[in-house]
Amino acid sequence: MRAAPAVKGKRALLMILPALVLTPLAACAAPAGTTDTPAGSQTQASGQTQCGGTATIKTIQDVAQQTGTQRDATLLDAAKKVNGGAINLYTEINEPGPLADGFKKKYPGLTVKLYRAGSTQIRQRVLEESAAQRSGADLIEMDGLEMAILDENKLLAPASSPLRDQVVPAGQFADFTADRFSYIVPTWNTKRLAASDVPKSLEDLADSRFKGKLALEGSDVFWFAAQVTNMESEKGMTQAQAVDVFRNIAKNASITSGHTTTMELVVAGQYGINANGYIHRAAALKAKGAPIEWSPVNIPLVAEATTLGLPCLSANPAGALLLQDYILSADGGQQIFVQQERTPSNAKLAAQQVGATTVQPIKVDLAKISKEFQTWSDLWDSVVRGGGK
Amino acid sequence: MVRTEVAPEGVVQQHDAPGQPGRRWGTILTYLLGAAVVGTLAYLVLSPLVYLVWRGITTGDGLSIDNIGNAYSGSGTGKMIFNSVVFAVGSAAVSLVTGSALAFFCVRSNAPLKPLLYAASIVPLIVPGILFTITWVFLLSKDVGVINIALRSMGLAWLQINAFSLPGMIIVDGLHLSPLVFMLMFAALRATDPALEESALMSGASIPQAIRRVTAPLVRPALLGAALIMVVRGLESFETPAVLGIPAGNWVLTSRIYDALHSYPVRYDQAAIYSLTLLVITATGLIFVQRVNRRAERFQTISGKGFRPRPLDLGAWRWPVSIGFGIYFFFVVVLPLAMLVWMSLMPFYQTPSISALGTVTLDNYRRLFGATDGVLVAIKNSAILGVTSATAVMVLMSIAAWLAIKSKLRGRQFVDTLAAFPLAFPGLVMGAALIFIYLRSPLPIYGTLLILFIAYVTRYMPYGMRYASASLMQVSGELEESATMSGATWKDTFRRIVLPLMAPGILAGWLYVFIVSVRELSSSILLYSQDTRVLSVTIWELWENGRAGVLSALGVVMVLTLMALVGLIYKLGGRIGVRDY
Repeated sequence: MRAAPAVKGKRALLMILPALVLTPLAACAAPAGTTDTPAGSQTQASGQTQCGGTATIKTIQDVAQQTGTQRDATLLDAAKKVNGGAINLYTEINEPGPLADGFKKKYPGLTVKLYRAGSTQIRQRVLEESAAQRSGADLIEMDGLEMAILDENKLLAPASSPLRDQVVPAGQFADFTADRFSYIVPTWNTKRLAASDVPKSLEDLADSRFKGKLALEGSDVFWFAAQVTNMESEKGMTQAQAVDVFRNIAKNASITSGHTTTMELVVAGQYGINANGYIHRAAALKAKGAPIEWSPVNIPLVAEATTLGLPCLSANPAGALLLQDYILSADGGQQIFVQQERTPSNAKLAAQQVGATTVQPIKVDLAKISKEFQTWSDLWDSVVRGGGK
Repeated sequence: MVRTEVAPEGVVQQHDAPGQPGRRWGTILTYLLGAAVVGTLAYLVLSPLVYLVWRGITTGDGLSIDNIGNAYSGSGTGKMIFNSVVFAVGSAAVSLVTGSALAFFCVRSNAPLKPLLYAASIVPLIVPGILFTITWVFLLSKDVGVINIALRSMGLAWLQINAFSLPGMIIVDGLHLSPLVFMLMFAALRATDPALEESALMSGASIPQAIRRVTAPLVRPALLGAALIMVVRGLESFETPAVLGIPAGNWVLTSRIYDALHSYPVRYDQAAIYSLTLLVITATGLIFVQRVNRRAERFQTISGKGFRPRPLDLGAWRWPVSIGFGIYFFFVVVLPLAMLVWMSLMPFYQTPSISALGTVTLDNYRRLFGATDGVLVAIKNSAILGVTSATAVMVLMSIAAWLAIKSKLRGRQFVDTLAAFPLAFPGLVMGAALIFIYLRSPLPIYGTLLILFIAYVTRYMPYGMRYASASLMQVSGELEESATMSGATWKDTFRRIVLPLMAPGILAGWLYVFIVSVRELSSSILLYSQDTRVLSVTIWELWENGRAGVLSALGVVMVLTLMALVGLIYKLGGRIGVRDY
């Protein structure tokens, strides 16, 4: 018995043929020789700086000699002419609303369009867009490690802002500038950990009194790398010795996944203490009455830098420069960060910051860790796999 | 004498007999339709695959045999694979058992408030993944879990369930996805002829026997299809194993895929190797399922012979079953929802207690509704995308399912296999592939809702196919043949007979795709732009910001809204297709 028209061999081909034709079209979309080396390295033209020949470099050079209101006016003028005054910001920031609104108020006629995602996604997107020679971001704000990757690919213009010298020295990189820091410290639940029991040092976290109470967030490779390199340079330990400290801590801890999850579980009381939590999260929760504490800080303090970078392919470089200045200004973006309980990169404000501690963050060689990231990641992997329970 | 009556003019309408010239055009258009569907399917599925393989070959260490070996060597891989398999099979089993039992109860029993029952069974699917996992942590964690505290206070301290364990992971993930099985089996069971079960009962079988030996085999295609999806999905699942597995030292293979895709340079070769492994597993499983379903006529219950689906009288079993399901609902739906509501009313999480009641606040709801950063835009975009992608998936897959099951096309099994491929692509890979392809396309797709639409349609195609084919397998060929002999074209037959009979499956599939597309994150976060923000990104943001309270409020709102929608669709669905008596 046959169902509707029986379709035999030749007619079957009629159905499969479109598929065979269309699919290679998709593959053909790949221009020859495309790998992960995107546009920036190809625009090295005759310019001695990277990004040579792009509108970004031209804009930077145009205002290089100008200061104050003259610079602002020139940039404002140029910014309004592109994309109807819209500036594309790719950012990792938690609450970009106040920044975008504040900027709009200061410069009527300019708007900020936001793409908010994790640093990894931003990095992937920027790499893909520049490989296709498409301008996506005008200004990028994300984790320093990921920004260093973009820098390695020569996608960023040299950092340029009159506000650079107000930034703490540790936040001034050649092609990007830190705009805020996240301090990583142990945070604990005051109902589960008595004040006398707080950790006295990093090695102390391996003590048996924390057994069953300690959570170690398992994706913090940067924290690990910073601590290990710090122990090597400050305490003269070998790398193997420093890594062993962490192996002992991991054996004593439960490895958790995600900073938010970990914080929720510490506040709930499931864990007594988290070895590597964000101060600003703890401060926000404490303000609402949660039994969470981080002071005194007795272990080396690692500061994760979030940085601003200007891509070579920016479509609205003038607007991007204005936005960058706004974010770095003490009464603009930096003040907003203070209100959000973050540590600003502005040196003066950072010193006064409520919620920061008097302990100074350790020095970290961001570029070096970024280059060696795979090795650090594998090492950390081996450390945390030994943990659990 | 013989009197001959001639029918008056106009009573019998003239139709072209089959084979007449007027029908050619219709037939050609039909072929074109079939070609278009298969072509679209192939393009959507093969373009990311080509990208993945090409990237896998050209970056990193490539796809050689050596590197396949390398990807699977390394310390702990054996344990990871073991954990992955146990987790996938376990959570699939949990979903299958609970989903099928629930569906049977919903369809067969004389329970009141069926729309509510139906909607409640779907609630676990609506709750965003991370939130679902966290509510279960707060219910089942060793020290502060509500259930464990209750057990201890009742003197049952020896009975403690720990969420941070392999069994815990399996139960939570299985429960989260049981609605998928529920909806699939609901659609399949709606169409089974109770006359067969009644014959069994009259021949002396008990109710459990009748269910086991008559009902279950009849819905085997749906059951096997669901099993295949659940196992592959379980192998690919990342979130629950990360939150619940890692703290107890239970690592699964997907954390490797996640690492490969997040590292720099992106290890496409490794991601490709793992994806291709999943692909092989999917294809193999599907071939097995197709083999088992070969003798199609065994499952065809909607035939030329009239039948009326009606509740099976459970007799003496009615009360134990009802009580059993009452308990199930309490633990799986009511308790987590209550926990969600509790979390939404707290400024920060506290174990439920009298003293904590004093801190109840509506702040989170105020923040949610007062949010200026585009929550409304996100809801609008998600709604648009949900409706369009669900519709597109079900339209495409209904026709594709017909081609795969009912047509005599040579190689029609391949259509089914093709539609199942996207199961094996992690969302991140899909997103990366689509960015790559459409950045270079002259068409204005990148940066618009269209690229998200393409992502969702591709990702949810396998589910649509399973829903469509589950109900199509129950439709006997007799009905189409009668229509053809009466002069109907293929188009007429499909539209007026096949589609309405497939309606329960199509509707269920539509609903499923709608709900999960709202939650889809891993592709969306790479592909969206400011104007095309979607709800899943908002959910992710709230979680990343540490705003668990506001997220819980959003979860409660989502559950209530979608429950209402589901109940409505259930009512509407009762009007088309096979009537319920």
